[in-house]
Amino acid sequence: MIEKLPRYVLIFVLLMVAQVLVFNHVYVSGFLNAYPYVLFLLILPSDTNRALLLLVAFVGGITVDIFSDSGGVHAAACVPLAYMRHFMLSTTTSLESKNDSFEPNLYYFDFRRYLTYAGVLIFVHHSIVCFMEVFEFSHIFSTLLKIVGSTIFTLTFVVLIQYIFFKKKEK
Amino acid sequence: MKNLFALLYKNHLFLLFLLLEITALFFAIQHNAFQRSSFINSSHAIAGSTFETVDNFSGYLDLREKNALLADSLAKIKSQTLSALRLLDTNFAKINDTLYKQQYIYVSARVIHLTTHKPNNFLTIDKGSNDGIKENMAVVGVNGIVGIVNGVTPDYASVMSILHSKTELSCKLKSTRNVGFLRWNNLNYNYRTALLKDVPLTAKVVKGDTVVTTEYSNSFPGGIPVGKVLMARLADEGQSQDVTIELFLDFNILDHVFVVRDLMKEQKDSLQTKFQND
Repeated sequence: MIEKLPRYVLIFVLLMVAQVLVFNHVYVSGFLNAYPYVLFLLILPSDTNRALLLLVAFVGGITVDIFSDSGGVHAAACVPLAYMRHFMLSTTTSLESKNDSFEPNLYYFDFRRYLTYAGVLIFVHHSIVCFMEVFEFSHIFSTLLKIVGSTIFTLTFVVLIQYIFFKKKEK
Repeated sequence: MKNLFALLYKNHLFLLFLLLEITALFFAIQHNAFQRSSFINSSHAIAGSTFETVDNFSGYLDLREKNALLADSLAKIKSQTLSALRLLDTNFAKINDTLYKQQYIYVSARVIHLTTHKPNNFLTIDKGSNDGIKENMAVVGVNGIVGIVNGVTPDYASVMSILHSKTELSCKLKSTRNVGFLRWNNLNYNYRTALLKDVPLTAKVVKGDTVVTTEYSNSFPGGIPVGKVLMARLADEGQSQDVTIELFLDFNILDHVFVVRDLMKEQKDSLQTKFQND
């Protein structure tokens, strides 16, 4: 774990920079925003200490909040994502791998399982972000549309980033 | 006691989760409910200087348009200065002008970060309390209004944009002087339009009429152009009308803004807190 630390620190920094400087300014059809920075939580090794994972999620969320003037919205969305990650991992991976350490990236899963794993977590994250940004339930239809649209948008970027920047491991 | 510790340890993950989540929610709700900057915002020193560096590069991209806007407003102001006027009566020498007293001072600032597509938008500018910026000061652009300062640090200030769901500012139609409340209709997230609400039915709304700020606001000087009328429709079950206006200011190419210091604000405020408080 410790020898892999620089790798994850680098991933964290690069994703934050990309989120703050690029993705925060990209809007599809005027109001759909992508948040591919959540990849830094999806990709941490499966045996990461879960308390540490929660703290990392909180710090990452606050970082994005500081740069996008959103109070604590992203932190409040990242922490549940980190909390749920363990359950999602254990439902989408096979039994024998439960005790080993692996990096849950695109190449570890088969594609449909990865979409379930990442999709559900991203959906939870985006639901919290969108509802807290609007901060009322009166525009529920447009908010739901925004959640679903942004989830698809983010998921696309999460998959693309891994295809482009992550190498397939030979076994 | 031992059991208690065992119980705590058994649930330590859930407790940590609760602690972090409640902290985050507290930040978010405080940020939202009080409409002022909590300590997590981009007028923060690190975020401020990062945005400033990035803006130093990206600011060149639309320099031409911004310069044209600035030159226009400069020309307008030049034509109003004393040197542009011709003295008609030479019998009087001006010693001290007691008819006019300066009420507003404009401090120029650069926008180093802004959003336009969120339900609630903010800006960060590169002037702060060291330059005399205080909370609740008005911020205007070269051709329209921008927002109200909602938080300051020594070198930066955060501005609540008029593109914010809680913005409410009294404005009037220039030709008929009917007053309404300016609100941003954030349903379609369009940064070029806003709504003027509560305009009385008797007001004759003409398409293309200019909407300006009123003197009733505690921050904005009166008569600053805001936008022009696009259309009007009935609201409140036919009790009043909602006027859709197109904002003059294009937030997407916003670069230079002016913070308005009202020299008589303290007088106004002390009057209102002293005699109009009930």
